[in-house]
This record gives sequence, structure tokens and C-alpha cells, in this order.
Amino acid sequence: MTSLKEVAIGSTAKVELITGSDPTSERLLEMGITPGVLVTVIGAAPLGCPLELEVRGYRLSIRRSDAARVAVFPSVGPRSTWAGATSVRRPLPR
Amino acid sequence: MNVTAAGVAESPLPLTVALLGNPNTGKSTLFSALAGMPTRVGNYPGVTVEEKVGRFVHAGRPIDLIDLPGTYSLAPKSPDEKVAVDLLRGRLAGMPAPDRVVIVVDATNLERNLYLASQVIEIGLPTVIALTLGDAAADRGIEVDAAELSRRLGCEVVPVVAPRRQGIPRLADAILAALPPRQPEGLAAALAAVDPAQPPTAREAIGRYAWIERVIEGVVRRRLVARTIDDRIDAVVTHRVWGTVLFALTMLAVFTSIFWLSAPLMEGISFGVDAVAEVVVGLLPEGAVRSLIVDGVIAGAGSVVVFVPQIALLFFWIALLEGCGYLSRAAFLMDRLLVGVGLSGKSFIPLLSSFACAIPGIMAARTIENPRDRLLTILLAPLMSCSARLPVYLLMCSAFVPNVPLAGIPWLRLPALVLASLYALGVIVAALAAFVLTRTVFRGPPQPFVMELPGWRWPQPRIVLERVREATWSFLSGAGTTILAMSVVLWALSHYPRDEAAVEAEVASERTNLRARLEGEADEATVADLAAALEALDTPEGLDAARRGAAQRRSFLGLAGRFIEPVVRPLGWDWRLGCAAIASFPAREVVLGTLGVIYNLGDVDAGSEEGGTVLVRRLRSATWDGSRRRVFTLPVALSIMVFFALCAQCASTLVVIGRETGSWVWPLASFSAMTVLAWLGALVTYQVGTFLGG
Repeated sequence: MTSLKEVAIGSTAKVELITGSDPTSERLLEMGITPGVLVTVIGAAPLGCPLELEVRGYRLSIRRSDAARVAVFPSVGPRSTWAGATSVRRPLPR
Repeated sequence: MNVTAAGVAESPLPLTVALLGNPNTGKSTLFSALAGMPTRVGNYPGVTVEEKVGRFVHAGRPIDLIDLPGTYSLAPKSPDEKVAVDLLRGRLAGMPAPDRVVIVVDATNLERNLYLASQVIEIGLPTVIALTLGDAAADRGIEVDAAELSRRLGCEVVPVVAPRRQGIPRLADAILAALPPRQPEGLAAALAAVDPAQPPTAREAIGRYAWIERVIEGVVRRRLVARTIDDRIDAVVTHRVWGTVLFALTMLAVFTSIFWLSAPLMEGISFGVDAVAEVVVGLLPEGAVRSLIVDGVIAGAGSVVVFVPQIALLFFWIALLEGCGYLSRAAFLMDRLLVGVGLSGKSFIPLLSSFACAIPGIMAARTIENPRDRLLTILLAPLMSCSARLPVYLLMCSAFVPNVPLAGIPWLRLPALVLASLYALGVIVAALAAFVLTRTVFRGPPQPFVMELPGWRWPQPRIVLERVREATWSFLSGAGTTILAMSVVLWALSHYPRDEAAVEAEVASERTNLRARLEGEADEATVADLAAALEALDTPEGLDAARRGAAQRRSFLGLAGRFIEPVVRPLGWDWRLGCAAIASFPAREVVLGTLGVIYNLGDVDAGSEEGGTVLVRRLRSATWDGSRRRVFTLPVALSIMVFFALCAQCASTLVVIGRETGSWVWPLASFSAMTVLAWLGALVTYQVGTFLGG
């Protein structure tokens, strides 16, 4: 199983599930990282951590250690060009 | 409106309206557009969460707008969020549930904002949604159909552009007219439809987001935008090289302004305070009352006001950076550096500012939502070497550290190395303290660090000014009054008991001592110093200074200095130095002034070249009572510097810690721990230094 931690910068992945049930997992879910959603890894801080993500049309920063608890399906491909079009049910352009 | 006219007659009480929303949604801008300046700012009972209320009148009806802390959900994870939830549910002591709720929803980020909105709507209070940042959404190719959204959510949705006051009257109308919402269509069904195999904590989020995705379908229209403005800015700002350069420049600007730009302002304040003191001196006869007013009250008020420029400048920067979205990027860039000691990137700016002064630094910790990280940052802030310690370092380095090049490099000299080591010492001790504290007192599960990087936008000048005003006022009214009261108490401790006869006797014995030493002295430089000191005793100013010194040494603070002599002796200090350390408690920046008074120089301006030289000469010639052994040697100077680098001899800082943590436990713990650390550090420095042959 791959986690969000392993997704290459610039790639988009579809979330499978969030492991754990502590406040951190709960917050990830509340912030919109739910099973089925598309998450793009925009970049990482100069020291390699934390990561900058795009999910549901906004930017979010999480640490690599927390990204490890987000299980994802293998990469969907490069980031969509629709501004914020990251919900699963909307078809991806191209 | 007829409803409101009737409402006035029926209930003269103001309508209470809770304003809540996600962080970074333009909530503060909306607050000031609706209510103007807050009419009441305080703390919620029992917690350090700020309560802000603004009163305004619309259509003849007074309305109390309660600004709740920004929150992402109604499942609280911080005290801020808990206050918001408790208030909405009417569970906050002495505060009934509000009459209306205004949910601020960011149009650029509708999907995530609707998560909180859907939870609030479910509570069933009369609710209005203020749809903000429509202009920013348009720039990003996003259009929201407010009427359709309103229909689907079951409550009024009013688009507003708060900085331009667009939609504000309509929003106020909607607040008055709001009715309890009907349950949002399909929400209950969506929550029930979640796969029961999912863990319980995930079910609510999955169900709600599934519902939200359906709600926004057709409500939000997006134009194809190849690269949004956020993409372009973020590409530079979070770039490995350019992002780091930009960050360094920004921090340099922040630090420079609170370290140097504030200096002329602070000098201006001191000048003003001196001028006021002079006027009072001219009006009152000499005596205890004049001394109380001049040295206690006026000097105390001055020592409060003098912090205002630094606080105002720092909060100006914070508001500016927060307003445009850079504050969270700065935390993003620095997070890795601070994770190692158990903090997050959000502690960077508060700790950096503490190198100028711990007080604005501690106040800046308000930007850290996580209570554990915030408290830890507050406790570590005073370990950063502030600008008040610098004069002590500089004087000691120039007077007692040999100015020799190191390792044959002409520009690298010993005093510079000592100075740099003292700054490093504070940082290293802080890192060790954090390491220990996160494994003992603050042990617990890791705190979530899931931080939104908000969209880039222009900071609102009004909000920036409001933030500066708020921070300054909360310091003056909260900590300021306590600092003032403390100054008066400390004044009394350093002026009483007054025993004129004993003071005269001490001055006389001083004279005899100097004469005796002068006769037996062979060293030419010392002879000159002693002769100068003796001569000074014959001038009126010199005599006055000697009397003040004697009075200070015989005061309660001075007596405490003598009392603690056995404790400071292992540090290589005589009782005078113990006195100076204790007497510097009102404010660290006066430690050189205190040394001047204790060594019979009166008010010497140790910062000036002349004053500094006089003080250095006096310190150099100081000897242990009844012997010719000098007090100040290199190990003693080093032990003094290490002590001041680590101690918490700053009453104002402790008061602000108490104020910001809402408890007296933390300032007391901080003072005790830092004093022990400082003592141990000074002990090791002196003993090792002496052993190595200082």
C-alpha cells in the first residue's frame, strides 16, 4: 500500500483511507482529506518537510510523518489544470 | 422592517449575534465592517481565549456581535475551538446561546468552509451565511450562485465584499430577519449512507463531504485557469532557493524594525518620561512623596510605555504577513527546524522576536493555536538574548575580555567570540529545555500540525491597524497595570528602610577605606583610579552619588543582596554584585545603571562612551571588602554574562508570561527554573574559568 508520503512532487493521488483515529487523523479528515478525494503534492519545504498539498481547491501543509497515515491508490497522474477541480466525481480534464 | 420595529418594543436587550467561521476567511474584516471597533475585549472565563464583542445598531435594534475564534469544525481540538462550540451550544458559564449566528464562508474555498457551516446549521439557531472573498474567487475563475446555495442549505446566503462594505446593509437586514434554518436537504441521508466499515471518526467527515460535493455541484462554476495567481506566488515563495532568500529578507526586515527602528521611538519615550519627571521634581518638595511619584510611579509608567514601540511594530508585521498569507508560509518553511525540539514552525517568529525583547515575542505566541506549543514557546522566549542584555555583554566584554585575535585571524577576536557564544548559549539551553520539557511536563500525544496555506491576498490596512491597536492596548491595560504596581513595590523595596545616620557612616567609612588603600598601593593605574574615586567624594554630585549608593545598599533589596552573598560567592561575586543582580529585577536594561548606583557613581549613562569608561574604571578598581583582591577578573566577568544570559531578572517579562498564560504558576516556574539554570551556568563558568587559570 502506498501512502501520500511516497507520492512524487507534482503528482496527484486518490485517497484510499486515513489510518488512525487520534486528533491528527480526525483533523486530516475534517480538512477534506477523505477517502476518494484527489490530493496533489505541490511541493515540500526547503528542508524536505512539511509537504504542501492541494485538496478540494485549497492549499494545505502537513508533515511527512502525518502524510504516512494517508493511504492512497497509485498515482492518478499530473495535477489537473482545473483550478481546484479535485473532487472525484468531477471528471478530470484531458 | 416591521419585524425589527416590533422587536425593539418587545425586547430592549441587544440581540446577541455570534460570528464564526474557518480561519483566514476575512472574518475580522467582516467584524469591523459590521460593528466597527470592538466595544469590549477581554478573556472568556477560565481560559486565555480572547473575547471580542462589538455593539452596533441596525434598523433601531442594538446588536452585540461576538467574534468567535476561527475554527474548522465543531469537534474542538484546541481551547479556542472549544470556546466557539460551547458558546454556540449555550454551555459557556454566564452566557446564553446567541440569538443569531453568522457563518463566514470563503467563496474561494467553499467546499471545506461548508464543513463547519453544515455542522452549525444543524444546531438550529437562526443562521445567516456571509459569503466573503467573492472578488478573490472571481480572480481565480470561481463563481458561486448564492441564491441556489441558499436554497440548498436552507438559510440565507449574503455575498459581501467586506473591505468595500458591499452587501453589509443586506447582511444586517438578514441577521435581524433570520429564522431557524430547516434541516439541510439530504445531509442526514448522506451521513447515514456512509459505509459502516469506516472507522467512526472518519464517518462524519466522509458523509459530510459527500453531501457538500452534491451541494456545490452546479452552485460553483469554475473557469479553466491554467495557473492561478496562488500557483505563481507559491512557486517563488516556497521555492528551495528563492523562497529561502525571500524568507531571510522578510525576517531581517521584521527583526531590524523591532531591534533598531524601535530604538529612537523608545528613546523618545524615555525622553518624554524624563521631562515629565523633571516637571514633577520642580513642583514637589524633596522627600519620600516626590521619590515615590518620580522614581516609583513615573519611572514605572515609563518602563511600561517603553515596550509599546516594539509591540506595535511586531504586531504590525504579524498582521501584515498574516493578512497576505505569508505568516503560515513562514511557519511552513521553518517547521523542520523546530520539529526536533518538539515545536512547530509557528514558534519561529515569536522566538526570533524575543532576540529583540521577550515581551513582544511572548505576545506574538498568540498566533500559535496549539496550546501546548504556545505555552512552550512562551517559556522558551525569555532564554533568547534580548536587547536589554546586550549592554551588559558589551560592557563586560570590552572591559574584561582581552581583545586578542583568535587562531591568528586578525578580524576574529576573543570578545566577538564570547558575545556570539552568549547568544548561542541561550538558544542551546532553550533547545535542551524544550527537549526535556516535551518529554516530562508536556508529554502527550503528538499535536496535529495540519496547517492551511491560505490564498494570497492584499492585507487590509484597517485590520492591520486594528491588530496593532489591540495588541498595544491589551499590553497596556493588562500587563501594564501590573508592571506599574510592581514598579512601585520595587521602588519601596529599594528605598526603604531609610536610615540617614547609617548612610552617612557608610560614606565616611568609604572615605577612610579609599585613603588606606591609596597609601599602600604601588600600581600607578590603580592609584589614579583610587585618587579619582576619593576626589569624587569631595564634589557635591559625587557625595550625593555615594549617599544614594549607600542608601541602595542598605535598602531591603540591598539587604537581600547581602543576605544572598553565600549563594553568589561560588560564582566569584561579592555582595555588591549580588545586590546588582537583585536590583536589576525591575528591568534588566537598568542593570548597568544599578551597578553605577551601587558603585557610588549615581546615574551613569553606561551606554555612552564617557559613562561606560567611568563605570569600567570603577569596576576595575573594585576590591573585595577588607582586602586588595579585585572583584572583577575574566572568570567573574564571564560568570556575570552567563548569569544574565540565562536568568529571568525581568519583572515585566514575568508579568507578561502570567498575563498570556492566565496563571501565576508559569511565571513563578519560569523564574525559579531560569534562576537555577543561570546560577548553575555562572557557577560552572567561574569554577572552570578559575581552574583554567583565569
